[in-house]
Amino acid sequence: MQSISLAYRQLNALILGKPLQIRLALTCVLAGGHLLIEDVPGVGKTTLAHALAGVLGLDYRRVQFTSDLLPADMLGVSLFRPDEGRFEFQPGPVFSQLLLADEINRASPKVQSALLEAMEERQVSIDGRTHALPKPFFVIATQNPDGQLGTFPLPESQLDRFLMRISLGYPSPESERALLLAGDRRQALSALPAALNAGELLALQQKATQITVSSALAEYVLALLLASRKRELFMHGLSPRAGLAVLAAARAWAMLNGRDHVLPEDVKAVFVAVCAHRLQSRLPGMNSIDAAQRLLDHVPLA
Amino acid sequence: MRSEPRLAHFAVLAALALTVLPLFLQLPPWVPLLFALQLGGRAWLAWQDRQLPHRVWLLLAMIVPVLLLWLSLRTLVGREGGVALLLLLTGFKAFETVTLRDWRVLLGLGFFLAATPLLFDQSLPSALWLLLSLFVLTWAMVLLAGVDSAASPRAAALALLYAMPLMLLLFVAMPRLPGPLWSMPTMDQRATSGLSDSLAPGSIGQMIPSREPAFTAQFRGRQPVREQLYWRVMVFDRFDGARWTAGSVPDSGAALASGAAGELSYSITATPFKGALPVLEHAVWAGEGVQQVAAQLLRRIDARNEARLRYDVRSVAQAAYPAALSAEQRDHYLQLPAANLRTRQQGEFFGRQFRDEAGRLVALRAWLQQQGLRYTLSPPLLQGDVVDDFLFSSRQGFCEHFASAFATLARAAGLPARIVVGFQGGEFNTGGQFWLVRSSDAHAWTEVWLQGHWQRVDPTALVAPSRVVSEVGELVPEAQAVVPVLGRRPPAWWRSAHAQWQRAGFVWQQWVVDYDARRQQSLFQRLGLGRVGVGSVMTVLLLGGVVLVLPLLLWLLWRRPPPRSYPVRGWQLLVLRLQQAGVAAQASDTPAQLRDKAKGLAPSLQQQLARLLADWQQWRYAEGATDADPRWRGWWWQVRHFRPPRLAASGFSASGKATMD
Amino acid sequence: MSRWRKAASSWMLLRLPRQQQLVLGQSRIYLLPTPFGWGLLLVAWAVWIGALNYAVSLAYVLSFWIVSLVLIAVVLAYRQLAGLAIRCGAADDVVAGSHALFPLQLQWPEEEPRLLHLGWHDEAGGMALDRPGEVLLPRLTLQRGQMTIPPLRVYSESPLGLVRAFAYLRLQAQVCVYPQPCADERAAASLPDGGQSREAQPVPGELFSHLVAWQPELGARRIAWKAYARRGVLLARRFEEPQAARSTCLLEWSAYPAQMAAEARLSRLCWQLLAAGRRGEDVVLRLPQQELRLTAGEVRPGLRALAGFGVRDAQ
Repeated sequence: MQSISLAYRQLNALILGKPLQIRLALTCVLAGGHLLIEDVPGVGKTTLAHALAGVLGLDYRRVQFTSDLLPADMLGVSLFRPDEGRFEFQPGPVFSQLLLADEINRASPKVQSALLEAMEERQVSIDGRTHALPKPFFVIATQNPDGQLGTFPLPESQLDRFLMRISLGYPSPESERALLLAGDRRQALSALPAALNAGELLALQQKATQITVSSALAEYVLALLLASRKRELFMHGLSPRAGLAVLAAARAWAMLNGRDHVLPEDVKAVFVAVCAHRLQSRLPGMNSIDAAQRLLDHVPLA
Repeated sequence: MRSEPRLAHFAVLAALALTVLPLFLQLPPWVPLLFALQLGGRAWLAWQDRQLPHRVWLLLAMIVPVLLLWLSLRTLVGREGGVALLLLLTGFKAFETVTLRDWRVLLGLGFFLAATPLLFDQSLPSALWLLLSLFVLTWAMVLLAGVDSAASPRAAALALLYAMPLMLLLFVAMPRLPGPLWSMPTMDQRATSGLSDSLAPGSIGQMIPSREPAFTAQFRGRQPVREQLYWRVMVFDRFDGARWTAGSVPDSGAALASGAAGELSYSITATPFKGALPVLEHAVWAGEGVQQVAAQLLRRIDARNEARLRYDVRSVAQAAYPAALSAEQRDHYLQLPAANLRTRQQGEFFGRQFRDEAGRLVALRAWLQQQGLRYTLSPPLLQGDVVDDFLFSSRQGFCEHFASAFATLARAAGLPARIVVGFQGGEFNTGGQFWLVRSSDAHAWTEVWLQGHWQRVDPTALVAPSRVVSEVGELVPEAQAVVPVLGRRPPAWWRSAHAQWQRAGFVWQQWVVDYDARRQQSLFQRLGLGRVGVGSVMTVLLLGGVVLVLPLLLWLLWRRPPPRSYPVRGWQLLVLRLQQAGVAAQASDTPAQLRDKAKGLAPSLQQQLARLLADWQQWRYAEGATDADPRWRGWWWQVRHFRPPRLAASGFSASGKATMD
Repeated sequence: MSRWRKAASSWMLLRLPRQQQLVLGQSRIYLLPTPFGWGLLLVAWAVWIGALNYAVSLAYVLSFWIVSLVLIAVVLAYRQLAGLAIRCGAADDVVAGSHALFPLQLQWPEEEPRLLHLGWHDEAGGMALDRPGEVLLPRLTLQRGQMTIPPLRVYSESPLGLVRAFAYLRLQAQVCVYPQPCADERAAASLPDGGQSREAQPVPGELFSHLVAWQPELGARRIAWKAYARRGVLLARRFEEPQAARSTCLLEWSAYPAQMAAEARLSRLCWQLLAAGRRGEDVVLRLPQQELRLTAGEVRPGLRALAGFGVRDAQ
């Protein structure tokens, strides 16, 4: 726990004025889920991903998604070795502990689905052979807001492979002033010491699953799920997988806050990040984030 | 937790024992006793976990009691014999029970045995006993089905309760057959309380101390006065010097014409006394099921049926009725044996003295009154010529002594006379509006034929006039109502409670015990359903089902939402209390949010709220949290007493503004 | 069970859809009097006859009360099953010939007292339950393959034992039944030697890791020409150092005599696989049209492959 709060402090020192997003990102890592950051370019998505990899002591790779990227470029290929007369598997960049999938919505649906499948299964099947991905395996994908030309928006069915979706947003004037004065952060980034390593991270992830969820809390989450399935607010209700995702994220959040049991406020803290991208608002003039928040404001704790 | 099978086995045995307990009063006591011993033995074997005896031994052991039964009852069928045999066989069956199936067979026999005491007694207490037996049998059934022993009494009671409306419906609607399927069994002597078929000194006297109800009568319209209540049952006209019996001379008395003024219309519920039924003197019309026979008597149409019966009669309360007497009949009613010489001489003296028959009767009555006779229930034992001994020596006697003496005198004086046995008076139950006539009201009086009429002469009334106008208990201490054990005259509350009990018994008798084919028919007609038939029975079953059974079924099948627990109720109440205080609290807020919102409250209230919320959060979400935690009760009480006062208007308007934004 | 009843119940079972979870309602619950129920009706009839003959009104009361009790027992027995939610959890894989344990979860409102019996449709009796929760229902597995959970029967005679309410359930749950391991005498002989093991491993130092920007010192051999063709950028392939070589065990379908039956082969392969798993060796399992590489201790995919070999759905 010491190490994770150290990591939190380090990240906060590097990325100014975004404590909530950093906390959510750490929660997402601790819950063992993948993170989707949706934002305009240049607000620090890559920095965040890089910094996370650094403080967590993870092996990090970045793939810039473009429309001509092929699945094999990411997953790896089987090469024929004429001297030995057989095929040999060349792993792609997906075989890393932290993969930054930049602008995931620029890639073709084929590539997207290959990546998302790997994210879900945590293994890659090529030519009938299965190759396990390293542990931990964690994807941070970024995507530009909808409406940009030449993009393939991720299908809804695949969006819920991401545990959370967050957006960083523009920094506050003070933070931006500090940012401008401090100059290039790359130096600081490379100087970032690792607060923990992959083994410790796995142990923490394991510990997060042990956080107590009482039956009353499960009832509360269930009430949220059921309320989302009523037709007036959303096109489709939340799936059971979304419910499990909420619980996993709430556990990690509770652990970050140094508690051994989950409280409704933990659920509320992570709910919008976990659920907004899985929902589509039916109400005109209200996006799914607002609608999810509205759900939280209407479902009683008991 | 599931119940232990052995407990269920003990319950079955106990239920059987309890069920047949009333049979101790009805059967030779050794039969129920043996049965109880058999059950006890079986229970002991179960307790000790011992092997059951081999079937061959059981068969051999069964022969002796069955033989004994045959010797003592001379029958193995019919009511007594059949019930006793069934009891013995059930007792032996208990030694054959190994599997659950066996125990269930035994329990089924227990349900059948529950019907056997009813063959002997259908009073209210035995109905209550039946209820108890049913409960214990059902309880044993529930235990056999494996229900938790702690929950079993409730389950049994509920099952019986749920079954009750349907049972009532079937009871009312299922068609009754007017007669028995096969010949009725003969009733034993004890079953009919009271009158015997002859009159000898002491034969009525032995009935007087018994306060056993004999029959009930309910009058419609005009009510009679006490002096009119001469309930005629039997007529005795043959005298052998000590005992009066019924002779075989046919009586050609003309029936009284109906429609006279002052008619009393009533119904009586009675058990026949040797086929004869009580009727108020003198009947003018007899309803269904009964007929008027010679000597103004009433008999059941199916004379051999000794079962209790309810019948309608109309009477004109008067002391005489017209009848022609042939010479032969006149001789019969004047017949006297050679005994009782002094009495005969006295009578003959009056016969010579008074030529006018009416004057002779007046003189006889006057003479009897002057003899200084005393009315007592315990007269000295009479010797030899009983009438002489009574009139001229002991001078103490009871109604049968007076009647017998007067009839002898009258016959000796040349007046045709006979003895009527029945009841006189009764106890009016104000609550139930009916007359209850007891064994102690048994009475004997004389009838003298005078100028074409049979004229009632009650010699007892001549000697002790109060006998007729008041209850027999006023005169004879032995016939008084007493409090059991204490033996004192009952206080007023006791008598009123007793009257209430009697009333309940009467209603019970009238509506349950006497609910037969005829009564069912009249009920159906009153409901406008016409005759009891397939159609009308179906209508009653359907209508009754919709009214009585359907709601029960719906209630049983309705799936109730689970009751809200203390933490849920408390949370909602807490939010409500805060809202009432003007805090913009929502049930969807977390405890931390509520604390923030309640910043406007007084610090002590804030502390109280913070503690309540901390407890709620801890007990509800920490490890091992459960809504069944006993601490919730106390917490709920604290919430109920948490009543923050309404915040000042400024705070309220601030929150109001916030919502407007 | 008579032949007709068997036929009727199997026909009924076939019509039932398989469900992940189900809540019993009136369409699934059947109600029949038990022999005891019939017996008590007989008693009621006898009492009624007696009441009729002896004109005993109270005996009518008794008779009708017994009849009503049997009728109300129908509703009470129905209530024992109504609203009961049943689902089957994931069962652990087993070896053929042993008992598969199906974890069955039964839920009903806690405050309603119930007494249920849960068992297989073709076996008498069953487990008694008087509170909601999970029971492990054992079922003997006869052959390897994917065993689907057989139809279940849940019944209750509570609270009176006069009427039995029962329901047949077809749940959706499967258990993987491995072949019954058969000791393979040729265990030592069939162990693959080092050469074969190297063949199974990629060439050391040639394990492709990812692409990096090409620099001249890396040499032309490292240039990822494919990527160059696609993107026009020179990239170099970077390779990982291989892990320390572990002993690898090769298990082959074809290693057994040709006349050996398939099941016997699978049984021996299964035994070998389990043995290798115990030794912590990597395993290469070669089945016709299938090859699996299993890392140390993770023999489960191999066992599943053996279980599923050539069969799709075995009852």
